[in-house]
Amino acid sequence: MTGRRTSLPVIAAAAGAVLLGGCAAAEEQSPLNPVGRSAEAIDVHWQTMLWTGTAVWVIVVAMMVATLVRRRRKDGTGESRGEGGGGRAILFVALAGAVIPAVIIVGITVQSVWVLQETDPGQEVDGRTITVTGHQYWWEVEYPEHGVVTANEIHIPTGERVRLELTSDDVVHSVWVPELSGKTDMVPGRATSMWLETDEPGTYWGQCAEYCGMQHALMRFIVVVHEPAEFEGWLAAQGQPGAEPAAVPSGEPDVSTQDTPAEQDSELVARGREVFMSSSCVYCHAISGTEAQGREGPDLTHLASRDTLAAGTLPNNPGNLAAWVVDPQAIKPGNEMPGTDLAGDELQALLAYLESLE
Amino acid sequence: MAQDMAISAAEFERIYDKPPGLRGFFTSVQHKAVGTRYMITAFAFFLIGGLEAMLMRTQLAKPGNDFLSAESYNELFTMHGTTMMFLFAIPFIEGLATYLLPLQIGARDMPFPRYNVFNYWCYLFGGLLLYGSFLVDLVPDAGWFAYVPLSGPEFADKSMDIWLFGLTLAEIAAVGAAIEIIVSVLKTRAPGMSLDKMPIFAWTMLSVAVLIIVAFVPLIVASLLLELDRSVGTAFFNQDAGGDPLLWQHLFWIFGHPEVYVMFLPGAAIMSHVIPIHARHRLVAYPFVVVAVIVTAIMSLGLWVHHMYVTGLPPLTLTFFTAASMSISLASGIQIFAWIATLWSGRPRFTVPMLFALGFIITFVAGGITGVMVASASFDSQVHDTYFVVAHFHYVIIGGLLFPVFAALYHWWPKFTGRMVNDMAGYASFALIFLGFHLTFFPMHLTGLWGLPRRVYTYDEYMGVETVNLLSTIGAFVMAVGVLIFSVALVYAWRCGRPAPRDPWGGDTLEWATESPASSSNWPTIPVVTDRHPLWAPDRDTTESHRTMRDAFDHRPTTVRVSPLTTVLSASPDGAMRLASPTVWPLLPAGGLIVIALGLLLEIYPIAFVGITVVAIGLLGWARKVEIDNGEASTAPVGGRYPIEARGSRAIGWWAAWCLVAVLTVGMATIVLSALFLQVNAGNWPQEPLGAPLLTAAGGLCAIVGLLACRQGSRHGMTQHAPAGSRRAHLVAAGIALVAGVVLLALLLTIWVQAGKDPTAHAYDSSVMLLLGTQALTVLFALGTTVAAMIARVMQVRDLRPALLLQNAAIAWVAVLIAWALSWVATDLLPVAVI
Repeated sequence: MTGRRTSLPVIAAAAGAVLLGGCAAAEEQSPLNPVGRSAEAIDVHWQTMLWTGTAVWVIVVAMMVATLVRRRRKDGTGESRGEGGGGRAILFVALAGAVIPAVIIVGITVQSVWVLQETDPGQEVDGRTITVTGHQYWWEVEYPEHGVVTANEIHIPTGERVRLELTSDDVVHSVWVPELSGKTDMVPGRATSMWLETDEPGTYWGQCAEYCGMQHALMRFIVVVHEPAEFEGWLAAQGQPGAEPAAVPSGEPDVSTQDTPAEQDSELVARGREVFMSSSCVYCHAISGTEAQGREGPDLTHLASRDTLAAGTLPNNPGNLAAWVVDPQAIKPGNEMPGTDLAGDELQALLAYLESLE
Repeated sequence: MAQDMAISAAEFERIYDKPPGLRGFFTSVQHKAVGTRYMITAFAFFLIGGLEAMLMRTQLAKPGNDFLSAESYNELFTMHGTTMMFLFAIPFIEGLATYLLPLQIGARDMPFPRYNVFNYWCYLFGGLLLYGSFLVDLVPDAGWFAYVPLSGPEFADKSMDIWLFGLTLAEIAAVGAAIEIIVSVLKTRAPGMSLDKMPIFAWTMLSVAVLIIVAFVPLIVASLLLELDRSVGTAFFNQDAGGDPLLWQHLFWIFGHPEVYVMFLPGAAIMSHVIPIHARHRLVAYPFVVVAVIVTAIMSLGLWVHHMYVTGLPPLTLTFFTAASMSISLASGIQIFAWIATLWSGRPRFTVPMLFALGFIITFVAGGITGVMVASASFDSQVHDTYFVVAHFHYVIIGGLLFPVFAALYHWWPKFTGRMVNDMAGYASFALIFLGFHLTFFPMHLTGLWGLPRRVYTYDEYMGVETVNLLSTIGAFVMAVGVLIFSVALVYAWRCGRPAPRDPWGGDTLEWATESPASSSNWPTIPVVTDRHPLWAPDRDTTESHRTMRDAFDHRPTTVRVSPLTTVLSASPDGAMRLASPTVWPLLPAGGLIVIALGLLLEIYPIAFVGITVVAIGLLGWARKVEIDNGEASTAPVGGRYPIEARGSRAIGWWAAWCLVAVLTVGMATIVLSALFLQVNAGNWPQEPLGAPLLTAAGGLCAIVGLLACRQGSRHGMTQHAPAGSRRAHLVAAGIALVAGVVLLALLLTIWVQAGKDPTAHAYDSSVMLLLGTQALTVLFALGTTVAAMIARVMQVRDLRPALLLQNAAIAWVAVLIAWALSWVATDLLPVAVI
């Protein structure tokens, strides 16, 4: 009887600890899969606290259970309600309640402060600086030294401690890429910053962690970590102006009856470009190298090169892009982008143009 | 005299009976009626908040669910948090204290029964206003923490104004109840119940009440700032005009973190009563527990930044708050081990309250451990605003408050209703609630650690959190069934439960010596206390003076409601307090406040003026009623030796007046510190004083004149000599104070007009407006107390009563002086002194 009573909480706690500690391998946005320098340091701290905490909980609950077991032996003794605790009882309360926990707390605080210094988001870094601005409900990402502006994706090279300068255009947001680092808020009117560093190339999910309005849930992004050479290539490509439709063969534009499929495509793209430039798209969106210079919405210069649409809401493919352009409010109600009432063929052309923006 | 003639017990109780029927409902001021209403209203809001949680859990049961829209989900989590914090937890605790404290410390009522009712109405109206938002489809959706700018003029609609007004009404009630509790615990204890013999619940409610005054007033101020930003266009939180969105976060969490302990400490206090009684052993290490409670209350004021670890604060700040936040767990550790030692020393019974107590320990310890984890700034940067934190604080609040509340309801239900609750229903509901709780909230640790942020209405199936979310949803429904069974069992017991004896559990504290439920007067005979556990102590020799007091109050006085007063430290007989008779007047000012709120919300300002008129009429009628009550011949000292009217700290009014001064001072200090915070953080704060030295000095002079006039006036008539001169002296004193107040108001207006500030242009200008405005408010408060003294002077033949009210007015004038000084510091000194 005694054995079962004490072992139950132990088993429960151990099961819980194992669950917490080990079973996160499949999750794609979990601080338990650290690959960034900062996330790794925090994970060490977490493991310490997890096992210490589990041990403390098991011991306290076991002591509580022990008091209940002891009761059985004592049943039938006199009516005395005892004194308010003799010297030994008081010593026990002081030791178990304050002195021993104080030692544990001091240890954890020391480790915490050490990790705090390791991960200090404000510390000086050698690597490049990226500016990230929060908007309801998307992220503007700028590489000021390279004149590159993109959205909802942060590309960084391996082996470099990259600083993110954070600010917000509207309300408070918070940048969080669990596998790389803890989060840092974007506060309007204030400059905050954090850094990312990892040796593992790959794609890591991030998400807004401060409630920022109706579509807070669908304000995600990815961090793409490249090998340095690959990163330079990406940066160079992003520095190019938006792709122009391939020039229609000069001189004989009206001999179009003989068009190859490729020529038909480029014609469609050219028409799409016209649709874009003559519609309300340009008030909010910019495409580098064109007259479209709106800054309200994401820069579309290399839209087709991105993995996701609408801040991590949808995979970027032609079907999703069409659905998004036609009725963004159905997919992400409350976002700033209005739907469109373009005619079918205009829409086809517009989509062809957008998909050409590699 | 009439009161010296013995009357029968039934006749005596009739003095304290509430009037029958509907009239009784609106006029009853007795603490048991008010406490019951608080608890029933709060429990109703708890069920509504729970329903909101069920809707959210249904939405989150599977990824990409469309059961709720994004908008509805955001409204629901906003209202769930707001409801559980402001409309359930705090009011329920205050209701429990309102009901229980007088029984536990041997008083016939709380010191200010009318004020008690007023607070209840404010709370009820605030709650109804918040839920009225559903009727007009303007449900607040900026979260219970309402961060600016999302809650500011640019991003939030009228729903935020509803939230701010409703919340502030509920907060006014909470602060009022805190004042009531402080004076009650300090002055109305039974003779002999010195501080070291006070029940833990009384100790805790005293600490919590002080904490409420210090911590809730900043939230009221913050709400005022935000409402001004929203309606007038001031710039307190506008980063483009010298304001700062982070100011809101600081103010909110200066309230918000102590709030956690305002909930947990009473929960722990309930445990300190339930565990000893059901383990049949005195609480081990009582002095340690008292010290732990007080230390927790004080320390809780210094932890707020741990809610802001990821806002980009300097590492030194983070280190300090990490260490401070972790240390507070030591005080809780003391309490946990005091209970374990009590269980060890005693012979625990597995009653329903005991099961909830054991569930409390298992759950709260886990929540405390995750609390240490999130107190670490570095680890918190990963789990902040994720489901890990949701799991943590539900372990702490449901474990630390809700389980104790359920234990308390089961434990004290016989005392409240005279009926026992069914045991089987109790065991079944405990099992469902306990298992359902852990099934809901344990997986949430994982949900958070696997990367799901809080406050998201949907999540992606690829995130790998669908199983844990489904478990949470199932658990939530299991818990809900448990809560329903518990609720039904309580109602059933109330109507047709087994009759309860006086002391069904073998309790140690005084409430178990009263009838179940306690008679109208609670205590026809006042108890005399000689031990910390009076009902467990063998009859000891009582002190002569204590016995004398008991005999003087034995079924007496026989015409009016009166309860004894004792000294603060040793609870020696000190006097008596006149308790209010039934009255409807407190309803009026509370009703007027809600009318003002509605007028402002609808932007139909005449309605607001009607509201102001109703408040004014209500207060005047209230003051008049007080004088009628106090005008009867029966204000002679009880038994010839315990005066109903006494001067200085022997009077309850003196204590209440100083509490109000504390409230106003904390409010003014909050505004001054806010201005200082903005000055330090803004680049373009003006570097010169406001620049009206003569007018400002004259203002200070007026405050001093008002103070001295009331003080001098109050010296006349304190003794029986020269009654003829006192009347004139009182009128002259009050008259001078009134003139000084009016002049001061005019000066404040002149300063404002001369300064030519535009409160919408810069946060400094906004601060100046607010400082002058709140100064004017304290002047109005002082004028109000002065007018009350005048009313008393006109209505009373006796001199002592108006003299006492002038004494209170003098205290109110101290508040004016403090407000004047603080205002000067912020408008003139700080801009020059702080670079």
